[in-house]
Amino acid sequence: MGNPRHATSDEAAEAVGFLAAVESPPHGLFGGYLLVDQIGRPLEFHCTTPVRVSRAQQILYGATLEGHLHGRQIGGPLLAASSLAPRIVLVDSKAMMHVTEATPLPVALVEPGGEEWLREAHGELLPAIDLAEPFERIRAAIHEAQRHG
Amino acid sequence: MHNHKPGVWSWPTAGVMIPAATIDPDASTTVLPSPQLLRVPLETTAAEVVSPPVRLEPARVTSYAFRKPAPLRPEPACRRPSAADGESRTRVSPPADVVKLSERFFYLLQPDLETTLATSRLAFPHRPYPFQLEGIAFLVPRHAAVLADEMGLGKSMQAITAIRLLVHAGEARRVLVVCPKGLVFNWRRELAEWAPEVPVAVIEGDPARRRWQWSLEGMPVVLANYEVLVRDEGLLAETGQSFDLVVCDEAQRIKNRGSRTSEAVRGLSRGRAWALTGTPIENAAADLVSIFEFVSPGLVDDAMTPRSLGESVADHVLRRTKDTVLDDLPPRIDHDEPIELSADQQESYRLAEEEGVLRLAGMGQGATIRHVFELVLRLKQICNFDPAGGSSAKLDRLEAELEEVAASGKKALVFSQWVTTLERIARRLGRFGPLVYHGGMSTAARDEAIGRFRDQPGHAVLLLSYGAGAVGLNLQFSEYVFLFDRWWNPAVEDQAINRAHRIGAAGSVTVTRFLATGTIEERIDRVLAGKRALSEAILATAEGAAEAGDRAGGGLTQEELFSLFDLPSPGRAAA
Repeated sequence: MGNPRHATSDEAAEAVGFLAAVESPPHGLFGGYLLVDQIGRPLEFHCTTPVRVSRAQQILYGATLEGHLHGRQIGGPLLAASSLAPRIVLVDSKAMMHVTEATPLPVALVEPGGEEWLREAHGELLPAIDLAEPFERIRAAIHEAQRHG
Repeated sequence: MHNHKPGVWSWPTAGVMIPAATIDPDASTTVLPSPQLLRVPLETTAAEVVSPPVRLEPARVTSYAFRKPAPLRPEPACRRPSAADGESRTRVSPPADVVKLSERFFYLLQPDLETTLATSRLAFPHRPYPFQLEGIAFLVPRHAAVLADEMGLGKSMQAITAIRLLVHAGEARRVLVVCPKGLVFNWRRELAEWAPEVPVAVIEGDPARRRWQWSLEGMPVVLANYEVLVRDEGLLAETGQSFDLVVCDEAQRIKNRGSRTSEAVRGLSRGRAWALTGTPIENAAADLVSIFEFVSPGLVDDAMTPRSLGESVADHVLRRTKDTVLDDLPPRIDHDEPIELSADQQESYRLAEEEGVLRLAGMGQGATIRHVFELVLRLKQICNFDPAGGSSAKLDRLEAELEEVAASGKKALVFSQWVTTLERIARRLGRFGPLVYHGGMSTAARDEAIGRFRDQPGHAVLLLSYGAGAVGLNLQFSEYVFLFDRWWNPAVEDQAINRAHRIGAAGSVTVTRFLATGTIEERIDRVLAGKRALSEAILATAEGAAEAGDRAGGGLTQEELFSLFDLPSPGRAAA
């Protein structure tokens, strides 16, 4: 455990990625990327150290900061760290949708009330699990990582 | 005047300094001095550059991979749990003794238990209650655990489901369940009900047979009673048997540290150890220490103060009482308890039934309801007590259950159709302070019995006959009702049960109906279950209500009585 392994073609075809960023005011922004199989069991998990943004960066990046931070600086490295190319990457925020700038993988936003549309659009996507649920696991894992120091 | 910092002009004009004029108040003229040319360098020193980091560095990533999950395939049309529908999610949390972050992630990143159960191919006879799912989530990640739920909350079901998940995940390949001898049948039945696909080996029989059973491969679950474990302690050590998980049911059996039973259990080579007990072990420090010498040797010791003892075991013990899970529980839980008769009872029963059926068959048209009734009563009495030796599998079970009831400070009612049965039970269960209540007692004696049962803590059980106990009593402080033997009429049984249970009353009542397996009691139960269903169906319609009072609420008919022995009814012969 702890070393990414080479995926089988079946796992690559079946895996679905969940990508999220979690704000922790004293520390900064953490990123987490969870890959699961067709019934929601974890295959890989990747997380980042916190990214802090200075006041100057906030001013100079302006409105582009959030998308750049989430998509390129956090999402990009997380997807690059994975050994699996999932059939789709799901995100839970519009800011994280900017990860499309850093990856050729298909990315979709999970919004309240939009699950059924998403499943229909992407061919029976994870029929057995609530698509919002894996994001809860990411948040719990990041919180645990913070506690662990 | 401005400051004289280099590179900063301090004069309003550049290049020329104009000295002040000198005015002599005594002179007739003012002398203006000649202007002087002052050259001041225009060049400045370079500004200090500040370059705040603008470029955002990519985040550093740490990665974790998990073992390839077992190849369970989802049911094609399984129901998807959703928090949006108000369904709760039960998560398996890492225990406190799991310190490595990667291992803690393993638990945190699993799907919730509801999803796991919904997506697996594991069928369940009925949906577990939320508190039972929490109990399963408590057990699964723990190497050392004590499940101390109050009696009636389904400890064995929770343990079996947790075992099942571990076996399917490949986390446990060989599990040993140890229980009292009288509960082996019960465990076998519950394993078949809650984990039907998991092969189970039951260790029983002569030494050679047991040696072979212990060595069987491909048996993820092995079931043995405490006595067998003591007898085979040497065999297990000699063959170097080890288990990924050992579960001790009725763990108060090992509270005496010096007993052979405790030694045999502690001597088992095991990865995980779980103890199940219905008694509040936190009330007896010595008992707790002894149980933990099996569950987690070295974690606690006798020298610890009660507070430090409690803190040490806090993460390993889970106890719920019916009060704490009241919202999850229905107000009344009915529970059939199949009982396997003792060997003596089985032999006596077999002889009596064969002889009785032969006699009835020989009577032909001369057989009456009374003859059948007499045989049924005789067989039912054997199901209670062996006529020769007095052994009673039902009483053994009742005694074990009352231990937990009494230890929890609760009270129980026990019903039987025979006063002699109540008196035999009272003699055997003296340590629970049994009180008897039946129609042969005076009103004053009956009132006194009720008063003492209600008001005095030393009386954990009240033994009642159906007739006397079924009417006019209010015993709602009793949380447990046992039907030692069944009555003929489900309505009368319900009245008896309702002594303890009322719609809207606080608390949940657990009703346990003892049923001797493979006997007339099972056959009667099937007939009564049909009548109860008929009664409920008829009462659901207004026009059937009056008829229901006469028909479906009554006892067995002649045809039904004869059918208990596969005999044709001889027609409307006089009883």
